[in-house]
Amino acid sequence: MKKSPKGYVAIVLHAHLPYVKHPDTDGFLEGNWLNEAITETYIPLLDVFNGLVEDGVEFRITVSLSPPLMEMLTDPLLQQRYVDYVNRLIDLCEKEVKRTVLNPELHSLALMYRERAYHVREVFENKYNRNLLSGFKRLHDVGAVELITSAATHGFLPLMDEVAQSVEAQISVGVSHFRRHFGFSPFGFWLPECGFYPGVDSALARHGIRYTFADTHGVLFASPRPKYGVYAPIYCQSGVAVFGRDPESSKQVWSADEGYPGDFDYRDFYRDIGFDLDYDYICPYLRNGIRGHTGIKYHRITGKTDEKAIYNRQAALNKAALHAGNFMFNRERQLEFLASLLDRQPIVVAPYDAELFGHWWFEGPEWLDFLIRKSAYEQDIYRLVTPSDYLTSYSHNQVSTPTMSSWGFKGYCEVWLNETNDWIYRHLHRASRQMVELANRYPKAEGILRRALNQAARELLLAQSSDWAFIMKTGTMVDYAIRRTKNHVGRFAELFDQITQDRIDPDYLSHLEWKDNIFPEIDYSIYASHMVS
Amino acid sequence: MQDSAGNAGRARHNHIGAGIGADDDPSSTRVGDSQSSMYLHKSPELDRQSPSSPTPAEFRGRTEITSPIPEDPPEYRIPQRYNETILTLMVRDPYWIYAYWSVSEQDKQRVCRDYGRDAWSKSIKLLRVYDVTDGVLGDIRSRMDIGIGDEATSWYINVPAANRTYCADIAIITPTGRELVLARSGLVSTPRDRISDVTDEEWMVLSGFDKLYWMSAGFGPSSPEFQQRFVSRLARRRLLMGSEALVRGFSPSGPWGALSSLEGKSTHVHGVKWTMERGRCDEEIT
Repeated sequence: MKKSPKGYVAIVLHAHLPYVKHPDTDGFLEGNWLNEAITETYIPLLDVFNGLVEDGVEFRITVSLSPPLMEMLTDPLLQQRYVDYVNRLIDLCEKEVKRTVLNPELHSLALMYRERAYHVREVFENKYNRNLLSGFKRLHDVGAVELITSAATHGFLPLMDEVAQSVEAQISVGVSHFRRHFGFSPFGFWLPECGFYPGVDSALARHGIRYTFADTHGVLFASPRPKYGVYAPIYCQSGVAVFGRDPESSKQVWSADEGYPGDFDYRDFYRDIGFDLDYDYICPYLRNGIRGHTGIKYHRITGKTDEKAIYNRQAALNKAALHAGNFMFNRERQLEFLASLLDRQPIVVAPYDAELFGHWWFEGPEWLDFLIRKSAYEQDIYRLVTPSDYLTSYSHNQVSTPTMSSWGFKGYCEVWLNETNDWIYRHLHRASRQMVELANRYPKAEGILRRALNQAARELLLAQSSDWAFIMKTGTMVDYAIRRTKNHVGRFAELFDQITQDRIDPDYLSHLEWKDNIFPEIDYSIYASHMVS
Repeated sequence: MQDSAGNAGRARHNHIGAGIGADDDPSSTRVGDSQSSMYLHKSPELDRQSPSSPTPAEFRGRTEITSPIPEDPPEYRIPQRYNETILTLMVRDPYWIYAYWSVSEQDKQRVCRDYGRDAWSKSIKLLRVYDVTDGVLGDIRSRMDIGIGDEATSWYINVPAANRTYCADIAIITPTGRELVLARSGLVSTPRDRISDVTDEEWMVLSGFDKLYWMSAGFGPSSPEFQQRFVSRLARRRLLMGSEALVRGFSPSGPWGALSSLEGKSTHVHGVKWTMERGRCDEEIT
């Protein structure tokens, strides 16, 4: 029997994309988010986890899937559009294989991309029957992955607290849709952007959630002072356990200056043939004919230079293995040290955006693969666990209340509340209050009234997606984020008027149900005041 | 373009005491790329682009189409503000609170009716912020007035201390010197910005987690009723304790390992004997 480890490491991957589905337009620019993430992140991660399971490697990892992502991954139209996307990609890969035939370096990379493209199409169509959630579910069932959920539309909850029912609805829908997709209730909940505030735990507890996460300072500044810092969970008064993010392991992966993904041997993200090649050649593979990423990138980061060298796959994989070893070594030393200080086995919690792996950091999935294998076979200082595993062993924890915090820049709410996006909250709060009013006023609606109330709830939820405020702040695709916010707020306002003036237009309603069809079986009554005790 | 409701008067920050600077740190913003893919690295600290990577602009700006977004205006126009009297505070960080407000036309007319035809336009408009941490409202020492002029509909308030509770009023002082409160916000609390001074330890045991976990993995009864019953039993069994002891030495190594190592074992938690059996977890008071 293996000896007891000094401590534990919990890797948490949070997968999320905003709900983008425009049934009335094809070739919509934003639609590529999902396609790229499936190709570069979700399928490669599933491949890694499946490979580990097949090889009998003992590991545990936590994966949070946001409800908008779950809804998109199971949407037949978006699944078809993904197949179309991959077919175009395969077509481009075939052309690239021919084009590069006289250049051995490029040619081997073109072959690699072609192989990957055929592979993702094969597993998407035949292994998962177009539904990637089935892949995640299987990994949960075999005990490798613990799946958890997040807020309905990834609303940033600290700025939603003005109307308590809004927070309640975001959590309730997040939990119920997880259950709908996976058939069991999640224990864990990823707070969007790690946005915690005192009181959100009570809402989580009401929906059966047992644990969540907060950023380092959220837990460190908790009161009473947490005896173990972020190296053991704390219980809120509601009984929900909060795990704090470990700053060290975060930095090694996240940091632009010191993090692994910036290594010169890794593939360069920006240098894409979508920008580099002759326009007439590449145009058919660009969305709306606009220069953009195709996913085929032949260069490595190289250094602080514009003269990028050709990517060397083997060197990059060697580096990923080296970095995995470095990460493992650091966790070993860290846990040895922590174990000498704590009178229990410490836990190091390392959460990351899933899309970092593969999409931005091309070698990320392989790094994770190396890390998990090395952790299983090359050391016995720590073991990979999920928060549930830890709570199973340590059900006895300090009671303390974390502070309001997030993992955004500066650690609080500024990313989602600043001069670029603060104007949205007036509208979001008002719509939230009106939604509560509707739920209270029409408690047991039937027929078209019920449909209209449910659609109003969908529009409100879609407007509340934290992604829009984030995009406004970052300055990328700002017009799109503004348009989405205004359209969902506007549709909500129109529905509110139609409902309260008893003049629901069935055509208008049907149109919205078709256009914004997230959460088909939502129940608007979650907004009623009595739902929040 | 964007309807920045309340643009006027918003840019100024009312500096009271030292606080976190409100200016945007350029390092916090991602390089202005117009590519759809960029959104995908929405990671908190990766906001800063890898220093070794070229800016995407180097690869754009050619003669082909460069407009990133089809110019598709929103279907809806939404008002800059609504005809309602309301004041809302939102905490941005330990030292900054955002306030937005509006005053209805009816309320403005009421002011004019009661205090003179141009009473509204000639009134001094104030955002009055109270520190109500100690539960006292109206104490002049914990109050600050911000002149907000006629056009502003929002403000970033720099507050002097973290971990405090605030509320605010929209007030006016009429030409005759009458103070009127038009709207009052709810209470908001700023977060602590340092380690807590409170070192009293309180501990809680939420036992039976393994039981729930077990059930969710397909062992034992999985009917919602059963789970509901079990959850409420757990709620009743919440124990508050003064010191740490117990349940040690069981190492989770995946659900099966963890659970099989517990099988058949019993442990005492404050007078309650817990025995683990496959699919069952019996408690008995001893």
